[in-house]
Amino acid sequence: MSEQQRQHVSAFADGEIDPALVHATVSALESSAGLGELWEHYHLIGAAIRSEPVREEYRRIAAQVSQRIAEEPDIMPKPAARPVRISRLAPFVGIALAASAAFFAVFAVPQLFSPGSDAPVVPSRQAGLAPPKQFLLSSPTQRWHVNEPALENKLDRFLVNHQEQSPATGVKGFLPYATLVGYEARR
Amino acid sequence: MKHGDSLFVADTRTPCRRYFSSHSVTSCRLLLLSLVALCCTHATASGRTPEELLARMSDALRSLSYEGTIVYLYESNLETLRIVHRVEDGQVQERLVSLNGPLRTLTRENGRVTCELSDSHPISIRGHGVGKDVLHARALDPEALSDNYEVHPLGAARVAGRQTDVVGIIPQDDLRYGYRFYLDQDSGLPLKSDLIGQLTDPIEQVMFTSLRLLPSQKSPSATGSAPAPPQGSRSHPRSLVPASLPWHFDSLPSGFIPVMHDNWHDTGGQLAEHFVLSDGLASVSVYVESDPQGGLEGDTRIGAIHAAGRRVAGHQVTVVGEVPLQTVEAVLAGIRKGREERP
Repeated sequence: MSEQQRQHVSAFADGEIDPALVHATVSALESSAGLGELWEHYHLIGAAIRSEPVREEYRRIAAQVSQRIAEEPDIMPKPAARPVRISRLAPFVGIALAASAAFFAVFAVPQLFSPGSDAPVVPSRQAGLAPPKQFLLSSPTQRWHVNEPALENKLDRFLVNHQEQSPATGVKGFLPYATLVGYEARR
Repeated sequence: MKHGDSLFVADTRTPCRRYFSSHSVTSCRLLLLSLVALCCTHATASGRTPEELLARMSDALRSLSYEGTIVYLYESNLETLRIVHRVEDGQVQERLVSLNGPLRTLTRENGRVTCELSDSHPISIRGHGVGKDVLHARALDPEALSDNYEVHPLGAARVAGRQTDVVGIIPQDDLRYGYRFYLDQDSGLPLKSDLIGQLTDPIEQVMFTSLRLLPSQKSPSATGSAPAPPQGSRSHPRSLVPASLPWHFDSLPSGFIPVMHDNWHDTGGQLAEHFVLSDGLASVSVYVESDPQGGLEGDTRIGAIHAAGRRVAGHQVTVVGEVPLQTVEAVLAGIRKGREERP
């Protein structure tokens, strides 16, 4: 495994490879176990950077692709043997197929193996236990701590008017209104 | 061994310390004390005096347009607010929106303050009533506050990525809160305000986490320096309340005097007599309603703002303000109807 091959695999994993190098890189991945491991490592690192959960499916991805392809039933009947005719377009078709395979390996396969965002969240083994009190979300309650909405409303009006008429309101700037708007009593 | 006995023990100090223990130490100490005193009473990180910083703060709040995100910390709760403050043609437009929890907004525009709080009817108040020009536009005058507060430079700090000078307004008793303002060295805006009570930790903190200064439309009324208090009234706030009113205050918390009286029309046409009492910085409002529909009996609060109410001579009296509970209770206890009545 050369340094150049490493760079190509890295660029391939990042989706930034020069299209002209796709064919050679796919061939190298197929033939080199070391490069295959490197390919897996790059995917794991990418998942970690994106804060994605590291799924078991990300491991040995190349082997799984091979296995899945091998397990696919032959849907189309095998064509009758025909004389081999080598087209002048054959090299380009090969490159296109290789690029398709690479696209499949990079983008489609992870979708096949990962549960996806719509998959149900696996419940915690301790879901039946109530979380400790200090972890519970506090719920808003009456701002003035009195159980009379009309009185609370009146106190709010008194306060807004007070803030607006008070001598130092302008001097204290946004502070009085930050209290008025920001305060939310908690239960 | 007594403290003074150390004068007679063998001198084991380093040559350097022995040098400073010579007769020149007295002049050195005097010099140091003078420098420290100078720093503590006048100098700030930007070289401005606390008086200059407070005047700049007033000017900045009156003239600058800005927008930003504010965090508000109280009782271990953290709230985020979005503020947009514009000054155009001398008029302030301000919008404050809570970004956490139930939506709460406050808008100051076209001479009105409109407030929508959670689980509450919208509130719309006519802004800046009687005495506004006299009382509101004035810069904070440390000399006028000197009976009840001390103003100190507290050093420098970095807030929202900007350098600030820190000024403390320290109360001399428990009847009012103290403030710590972190003032932007470039613009003069307060980027952080700490409300300080008797405990070590601030009661409330309000701080910009991001600030963007907007182009300001220059206007003489908006950008001129905040008017200084008129000569002869610098030492104490002056009462602007006529003595002929049917309500008066027998006793008030130290430093507080009535500075404003108005007949305030509450929602639905309810009329209330409205007094504002101030010590020059802190203030409380007293509302006297002759025909109240529900009134506060006892005391309550939101954050550092306290309210207390009771019936006095057949009227509902409610006191509200950003002061400690004992202050609103003292104001409430001091109000009388007429000159002869006693509770």
